[in-house]
Amino acid sequence: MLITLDQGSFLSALQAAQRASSTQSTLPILSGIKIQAEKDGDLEIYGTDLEISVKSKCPARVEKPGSTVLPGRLLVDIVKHMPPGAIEIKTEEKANNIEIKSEKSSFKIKGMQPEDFPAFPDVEAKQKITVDVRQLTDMLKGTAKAISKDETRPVLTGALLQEEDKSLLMVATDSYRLAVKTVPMRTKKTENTSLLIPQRAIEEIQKLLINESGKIDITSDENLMAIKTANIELISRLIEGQFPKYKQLVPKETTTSAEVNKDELIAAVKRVALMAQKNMSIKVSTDSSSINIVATTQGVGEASERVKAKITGEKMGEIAFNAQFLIDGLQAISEEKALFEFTGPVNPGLIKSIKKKDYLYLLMPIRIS
Amino acid sequence: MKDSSLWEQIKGHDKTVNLLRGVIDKKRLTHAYLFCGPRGVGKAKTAATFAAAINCDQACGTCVSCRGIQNLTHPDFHYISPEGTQTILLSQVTDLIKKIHLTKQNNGYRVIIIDDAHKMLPVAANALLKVLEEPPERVVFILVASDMNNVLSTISSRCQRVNFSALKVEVVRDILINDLKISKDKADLAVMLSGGMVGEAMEIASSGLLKVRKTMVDAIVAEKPDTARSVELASLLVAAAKKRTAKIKKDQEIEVKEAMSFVEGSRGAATIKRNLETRHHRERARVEHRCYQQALVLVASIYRDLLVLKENADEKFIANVDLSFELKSAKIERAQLTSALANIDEAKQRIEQNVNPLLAFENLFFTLEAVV
Repeated sequence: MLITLDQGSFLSALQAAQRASSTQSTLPILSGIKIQAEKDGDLEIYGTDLEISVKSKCPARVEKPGSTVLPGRLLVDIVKHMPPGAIEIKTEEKANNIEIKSEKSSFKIKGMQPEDFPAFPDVEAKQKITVDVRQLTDMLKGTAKAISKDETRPVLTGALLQEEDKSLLMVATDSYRLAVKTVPMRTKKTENTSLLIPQRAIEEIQKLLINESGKIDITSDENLMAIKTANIELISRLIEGQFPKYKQLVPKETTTSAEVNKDELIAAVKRVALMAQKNMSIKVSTDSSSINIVATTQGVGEASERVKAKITGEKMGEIAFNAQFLIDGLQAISEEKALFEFTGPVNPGLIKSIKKKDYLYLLMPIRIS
Repeated sequence: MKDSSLWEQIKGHDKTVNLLRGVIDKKRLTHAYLFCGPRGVGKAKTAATFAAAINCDQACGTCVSCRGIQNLTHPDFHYISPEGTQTILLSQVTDLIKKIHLTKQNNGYRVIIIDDAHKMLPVAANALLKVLEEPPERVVFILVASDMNNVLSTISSRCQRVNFSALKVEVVRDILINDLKISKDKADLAVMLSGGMVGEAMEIASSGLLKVRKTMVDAIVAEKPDTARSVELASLLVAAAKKRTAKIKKDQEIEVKEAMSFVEGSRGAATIKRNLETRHHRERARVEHRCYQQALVLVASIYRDLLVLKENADEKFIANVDLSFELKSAKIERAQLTSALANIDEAKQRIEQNVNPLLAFENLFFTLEAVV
């Protein structure tokens, strides 16, 4: 192999692929990155931990095609520290030794057999969801935190992406809270695709989309999903099993409803939560014109704050929530105001967006003893 | 000539191989198999071949799928073996379960091999039980176990059992000499001592334990107790085990070095190193342990031979053929021999319970002397 390419574009392509490669595995080849140069083509870069796989492309002048597997972390570090400009990569014919050269510096590293590297998976585009990148990012942000980390219930360790009539939903729950983000879709679909995406992939897709705009396609078959930008393709396995029927959990009616400035409430909760030192539990109640938040830790002290709100319905006694979970829900609201609803101290609280009605966050209360 | 299928490389289990190949040909896979039989007769090798055949009818050994299974990079193949000193840990099983709940990457079967499944801790086995009971579609478990007493009945009842018997002496001999290039004399001895277990024979042949036997026989045959010799014997056996672990340690150090050159500087590097070292430490402890057990088998083999001679059985049944002359000169009563064997069993248990091996051996040899 003999190729020449630009340091900057090589580095960003490498970093994309390296994120997929494994840091935990005891198999050395999985911490490697495979680079492959075809005649008259871009350089293709592969990384995988067998759960997710990334292929990225980088323009290169290929003089002699070939492929090799290099230690991922080391390669990224080398390229990162090279000066901007042209880089040349050369493999010696017999031994799998690779030479990486810039104008002044030169590195020789040992590679591994490219045949041993897992093949890049194939996704048959049986289903396709086209969505605006910004909307997708909002969906991921709004639900990612509610994904369960408890591995005894594998179906909850990912987020559900589902088409429904004229909208696209993303749902996640860890059984303490449930987050649903909806975006409208222009076309009505006949088949309703539903993908249960593992948490790892959710994280990586978020990173992948940072600098993207416009529309993006998510394709899938029974086993895998793929998402593709101009230069990077990410493929992930899905979670097997049935996501719980969450709709029956969402109460249709509530007895108390408070319209409140989202940022004010977040700030207040953060302040008061400083005094909730044991289990982040804060108590919430309403009077005619405000939400009151109280936190007490025995032997330490207490804090309280009133936040102005427009209250409709019954007066709410005391209900306790986990402060961090409450903040997570409020932060996902993109509008200035949010609706905070209750039905008594033992039923879940609801956080909703008002104007667009595109976000719903259900939060289980903590039992007050 | 190179064989066209991995199946051809399995020796001495024609019936079992035919059974398994039939399962593949007729597409009658069940979700779980339990391969059981003595240690070191080729169960794990057969399991790996079966795994390859599930996704490649011929088990050709050269296609992407087969190679992936051989070097553990096949996306839908998982292999676990004891990472604890003697056990498969709960974390290994939960990690496996997590992977099983993700979709497969290819359209074939997902295959899971659990080697030394009898070493699963009960908690780990119970965690596995649920997936074994309601496995996702197109998953095949292959559990490999050499000690059925330690496989939970709840596990074994959910698997189809495939039995392996000890290999014929000629087969083991053939493997040792032709495949592993071990010298004929050594191979003969190792075969007799191993009782038809290739793995065991291989280890005995390369352990340096064979040399200790002469001293042992001398000690047993001698008419006067000699404390100094007993102490020396015990230390010889322990030294043989330490020597083996020292050798492994060297390989492990290289592995750590190579692994670190790959991840150096990355976020998890320290954790990876720590995990690797813990695993290595356990591996060494495991090997050392096995070495002691083998030493005890050798000691027992001498008493067994003496019993054989006592019963005037044919000389060809003696394991320590090279020492038959010395053995014949021994004057020990039958009752003494059987009680000596009981003592050896006791020592075996002590070592399993982590008694200091040197002390356990010294104690054994003292009692053995006293018996005579």
